[in-house]
Amino acid sequence: MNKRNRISMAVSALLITGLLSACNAGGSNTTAQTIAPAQSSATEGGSSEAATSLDTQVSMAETADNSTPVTLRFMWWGGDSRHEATLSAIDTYTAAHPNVTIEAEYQAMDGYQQKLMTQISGGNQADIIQLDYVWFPDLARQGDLFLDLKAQSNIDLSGYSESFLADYCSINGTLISLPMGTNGFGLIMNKAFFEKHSLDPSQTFTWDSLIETAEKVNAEDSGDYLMSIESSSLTGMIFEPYILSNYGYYWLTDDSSAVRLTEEQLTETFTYMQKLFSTPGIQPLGEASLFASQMEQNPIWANNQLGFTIDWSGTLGKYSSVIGEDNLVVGKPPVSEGGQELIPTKPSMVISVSQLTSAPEVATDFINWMLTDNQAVEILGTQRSVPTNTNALAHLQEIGAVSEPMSQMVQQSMDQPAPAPPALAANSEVSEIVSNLLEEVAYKSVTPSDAAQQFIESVNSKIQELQS
Amino acid sequence: MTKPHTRHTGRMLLTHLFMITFGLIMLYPLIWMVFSAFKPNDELFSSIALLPKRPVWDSFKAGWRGTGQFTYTTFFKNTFLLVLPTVFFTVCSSSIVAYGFSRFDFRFKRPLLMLVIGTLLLPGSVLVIPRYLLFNRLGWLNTYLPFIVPAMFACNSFFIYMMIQFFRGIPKALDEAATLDGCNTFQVYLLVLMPICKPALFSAMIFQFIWTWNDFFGPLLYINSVKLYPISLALRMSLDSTMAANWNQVLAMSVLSLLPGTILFFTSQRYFVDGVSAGAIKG
Repeated sequence: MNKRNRISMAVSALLITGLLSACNAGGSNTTAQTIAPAQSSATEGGSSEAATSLDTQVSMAETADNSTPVTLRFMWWGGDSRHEATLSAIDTYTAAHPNVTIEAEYQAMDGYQQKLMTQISGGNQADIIQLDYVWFPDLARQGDLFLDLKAQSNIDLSGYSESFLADYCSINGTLISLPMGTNGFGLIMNKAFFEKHSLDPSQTFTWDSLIETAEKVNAEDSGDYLMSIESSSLTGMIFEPYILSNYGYYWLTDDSSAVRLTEEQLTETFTYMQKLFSTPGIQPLGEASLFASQMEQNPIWANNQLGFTIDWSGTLGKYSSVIGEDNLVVGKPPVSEGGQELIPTKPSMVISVSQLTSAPEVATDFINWMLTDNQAVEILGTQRSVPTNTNALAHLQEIGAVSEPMSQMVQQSMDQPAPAPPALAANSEVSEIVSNLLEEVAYKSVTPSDAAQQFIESVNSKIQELQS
Repeated sequence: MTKPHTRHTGRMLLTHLFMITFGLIMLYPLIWMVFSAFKPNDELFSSIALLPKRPVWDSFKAGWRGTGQFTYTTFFKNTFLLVLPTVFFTVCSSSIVAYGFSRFDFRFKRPLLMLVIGTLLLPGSVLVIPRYLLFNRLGWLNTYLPFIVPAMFACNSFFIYMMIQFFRGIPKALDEAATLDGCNTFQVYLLVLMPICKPALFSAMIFQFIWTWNDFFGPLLYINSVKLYPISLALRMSLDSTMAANWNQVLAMSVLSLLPGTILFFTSQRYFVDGVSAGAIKG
């Protein structure tokens, strides 16, 4: 008995040392990571030394331009049509630059961020990486990962709006990415449904008329719903637009230091949300949530029993593939009575070049070519929503390659753009708290005033935790 | 005389009816998948009926072609290159390790066995980052080595455990008889125990085959180049949440990707069922 005890103690000791060493390995690695960016930022800093090293890089690249073979990895996410267009763009570029090979690493959105984060922690990421700007706060904590694109001589920044680059493509003032497309925001409507209920699809709903119309629609046919929103998009599709249109600002202060809304404002918002989701004619949240980020698969959408959903313009293709392009119209998101209309906009996706790339000159030349060259712009079309680069957009419109709903949706956002959301609004931990609380509100498991109190307390304490 | 007989057939009929209906309900999603491979997108989401109203016939052909850069010929080939060595080495290595644990006495046998069982209890997600960093240092990323090499060294403790239980059920007298007849220890393993172990080997083989074939997260982390993608990644390649997908093509390829596992299972089902229960009795 005694012997057995001793042995099992030995085993548990072994296991514990194993665990500890695993932790150590992790620990030493993170320190290695934090050191590496620090070194690179030291060499890249604004000193004259950095400038000369950049100059030599440039001249080296120029002399070696067409002879040295260069292999770059380019990683993006998307569906089949985007894959095909991007592959074809790569082929065109490499045909003109025979010394360059671009290895395409493409997949769907699912698992992309996890894969990227794992690669970054192993220092194994691609040279050219497509990103979503909402990951920036998380990425920034991993150190200095991407090239400062303002310091690159072969990037033409003339086609982008200065504020768009600053708001959506930079970390701490450093331009680390370029926007590949602009996403507009609004209603995606089923024309047949609007005709059936003799509604005007060009009207802009107010938050109150939304509820009235939904009731009317449901009274005419109890199987019909005016709107369907699933619970994971409550923050972006209902909560933020409602606050923006009522108050003209976001729920966080601009410097992300605290919740900006008062308890009364939040209570009012939550009361509206509870009223909205108990309206007959708005699809019950429980049913709608079966279609999280795949609302087009909702049978009522396919059967013309759903009036609209709210989404970004980049997703238009999937909605029209189910109900047909002729059957789809777009419109502005709901406004508040007499309020100011501000429509959110954002880059559909951005593109960055890794610090670790062996050929920064070629990589930056390639992304610049993709976003500005007429031939590339034609090949890529609106696969990443409409191009943000104004020259590229003008060229696409000239050749008639932008569909009517897409250009309308982006235009309405650009005409009355909402300010960029505060940085921490997109933080994964903060948005998790908000999203959970909004679900509780919409499912009525908490009263609006309790929720408002909880909202302010838990978001503020999470922010303090993140900033300490 | 006839009365009890009819009652018996009546009950049999009822049992069969119940089993058939229940089986159909369980199988419906699979059957739906096969039929949906012939439906256009709008029909796919608007009804749960089996038969398409406007059938699409080219989904298998177009789906096989994929995005154009690589066809499913590449992806199937990749999957076999990944799965077959992994399965082969898993079966060899875990049976040898299990042989050692069940037939020999050596120093630290108990603690080592407990370690093996300990790793069985370790949740896989804990290992993701350390393993990734390790394979990265070794330069094995974007190859199939992260799957094959661990298989060579019996890193899947579940199979070791299962085999040990199986070996324990085989009388040691057989080994002794073989030794008397002049077998060395390896010959005992290969010529005497392996043939008896067939059920356990087959169940390990089928399990590992299906797990590796269906594994999504492993290849997602370790494989970067599309030219090396196995089917599990290839199928997800076109299913983006923001873009339209040709569902019929994806479903058509899913149907094809089910075939190897299904064929393997049905051809070796006899051994498989034996193996699972044989390991279980001697707990």
